[in-house]
Amino acid sequence: MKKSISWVLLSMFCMLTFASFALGGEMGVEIRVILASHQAKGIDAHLQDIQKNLGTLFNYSSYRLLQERSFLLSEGQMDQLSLADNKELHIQLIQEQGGTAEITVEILRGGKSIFKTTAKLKKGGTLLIGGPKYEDGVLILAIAAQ
Amino acid sequence: MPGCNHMASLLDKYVDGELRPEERVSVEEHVKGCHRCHRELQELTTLRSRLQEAVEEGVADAPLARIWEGVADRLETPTIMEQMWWEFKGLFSSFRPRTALAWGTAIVIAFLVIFPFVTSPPTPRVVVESVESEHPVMIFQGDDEMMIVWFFVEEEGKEAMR
Repeated sequence: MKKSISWVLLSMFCMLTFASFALGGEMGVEIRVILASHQAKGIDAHLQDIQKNLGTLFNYSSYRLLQERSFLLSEGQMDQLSLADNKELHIQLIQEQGGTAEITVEILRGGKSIFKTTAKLKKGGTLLIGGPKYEDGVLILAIAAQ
Repeated sequence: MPGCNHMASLLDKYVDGELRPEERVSVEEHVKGCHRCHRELQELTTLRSRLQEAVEEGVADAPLARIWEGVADRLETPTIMEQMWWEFKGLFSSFRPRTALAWGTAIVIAFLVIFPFVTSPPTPRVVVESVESEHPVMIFQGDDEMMIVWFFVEEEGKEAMR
């Protein structure tokens, strides 16, 4: 009996190990829309984890979180997020393997694509996309794999 | 009918009860008709019973504590290494080769799966593979965990960069 249980546990361990690496899956993605400007000072408390990077990379005096949303995307699934000024963000998980997600991010204005990128994100990685003007500053999109 | 020479070798075993049933019958048939073997069998039986009595009496009368002391005196005290070896050997008293092989295989598989992740050099957590935009684009690395893609929609985008 004990012998059988040992073999069953061992088989399950091997199968789970194989399955976790062989099979693709889904990936959690968090998108934060940040307004960077010179009009004020300070950084939003919700941006503490990337504060150092923002301060090093850009010279804006203020970073304010406008929007935050999390998606759980399956392979091939696309989701979207409405941005300011009639802009839209489309995000699609192309594939996920071994904790790395290949995603496509597209920004559209009035239904027309103005920007599209494909990137690979590992868990914990963040892709910053910046540039679109908004109010008195620019929008920065922080896309993180979870 | 077997000869007396052959019987002589069987008589000891007969007395000790070590013969098969058909051999016992053969011996009993022979001693019925052979005076010499019959006498020899009687002597062997008597000798055996006397020996047994002597041994039983000796064991009954002997002071066991003294006997053990005598035995213990002759035993060699195990060295520390010997004691350690017996302890070590005791750990594997329930050793099962198949189970050990199965666990060994599982550990090797787990090691082979985990090893590349542990030893591979750190790679960036973000890699930009392609960018399409009608606006000028700049890509730069933040740190291992961050990649920045900046597209210059307006001129103010440039002044934002350090």
